[in-house]
Amino acid sequence: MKERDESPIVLIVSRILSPFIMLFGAYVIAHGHYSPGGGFQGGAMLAASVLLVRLAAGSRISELQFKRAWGTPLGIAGVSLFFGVGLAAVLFGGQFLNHEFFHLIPGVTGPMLRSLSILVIEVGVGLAVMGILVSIYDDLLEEDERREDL
Amino acid sequence: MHWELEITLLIFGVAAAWLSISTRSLLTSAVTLTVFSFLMALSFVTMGAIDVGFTEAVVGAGVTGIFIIIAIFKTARQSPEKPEPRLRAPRLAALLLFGALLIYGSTGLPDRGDANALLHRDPSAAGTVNAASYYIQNAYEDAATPNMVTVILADYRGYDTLGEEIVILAAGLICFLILRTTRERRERERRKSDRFNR
Repeated sequence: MKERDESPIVLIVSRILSPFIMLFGAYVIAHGHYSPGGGFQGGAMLAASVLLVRLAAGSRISELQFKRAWGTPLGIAGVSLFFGVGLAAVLFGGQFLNHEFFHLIPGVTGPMLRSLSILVIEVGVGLAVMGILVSIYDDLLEEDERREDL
Repeated sequence: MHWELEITLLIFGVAAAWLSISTRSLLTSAVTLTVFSFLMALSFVTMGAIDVGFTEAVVGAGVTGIFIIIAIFKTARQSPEKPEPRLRAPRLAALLLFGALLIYGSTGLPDRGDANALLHRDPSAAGTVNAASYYIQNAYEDAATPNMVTVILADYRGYDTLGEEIVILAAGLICFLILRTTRERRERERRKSDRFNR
């Protein structure tokens, strides 16, 4: 990318703003049962909070917040979480992704159980979207960062 | 419902789209494209599809813009000089004809939110329960979740969402495989540049 002008204003504002965007992303994921939003939107906001610091401060500082190597594993973990919820229902004797058979928590049955497994799925989707968007950004800029290191 | 608001949004949307294809500076083009995305997000909200509008605002106006701008910085800032296109009149005529065809086709669509449209009738034309009205009536009792859209995405249509996630993962892995250099290649390049520096 082009030479970065180190502006302290941009750096400070992005560093102050990023945690709040991250908090709002987590809220959007967790509150998807009651308000618009959910895993995908929340995950994209989490990714945006990381990308904001990457754009403003460069990836050397941003690596303190979110390491370059974490993106792809996080995406795979999120998709595996989603898949695991579906598979758990199969192991408990139901159909794939039939949440009424997701008996991992004792005492919760019926609609509440489905609500709970929807939450697990949303968290999985959020992690996957966040990890993959950040990893695509890192892949796109990899060459330049390498040159910066040398 | 809010037709004045929708018309304003669509006029600005058409202007943003026109600007983004007519300008020669690719950076301006990327920025007007995100403006277009944001206007589309607002018009989705006026249609009542708040979840879709949210997604469009975050992904279309936020993350996609960043990716496009990186791609511009890594390639060229300006689109190349184009020669004057030949056969200008026939092209324009074909374009107008196609636009007229689309407008003619759209007159056959049912009105938005029309409960008597063939698609929304319950029971459906085949005599079965309409899926949409089933979701509306039973989503809360089935999953104890007030937001119907979440129930449809994660429960009734769980397969679709899982497929979506797999598509996103595939896209990420493809970027990883194509763009990320391996350690051996990096070492080789470093050795080459060392030799060059000496």
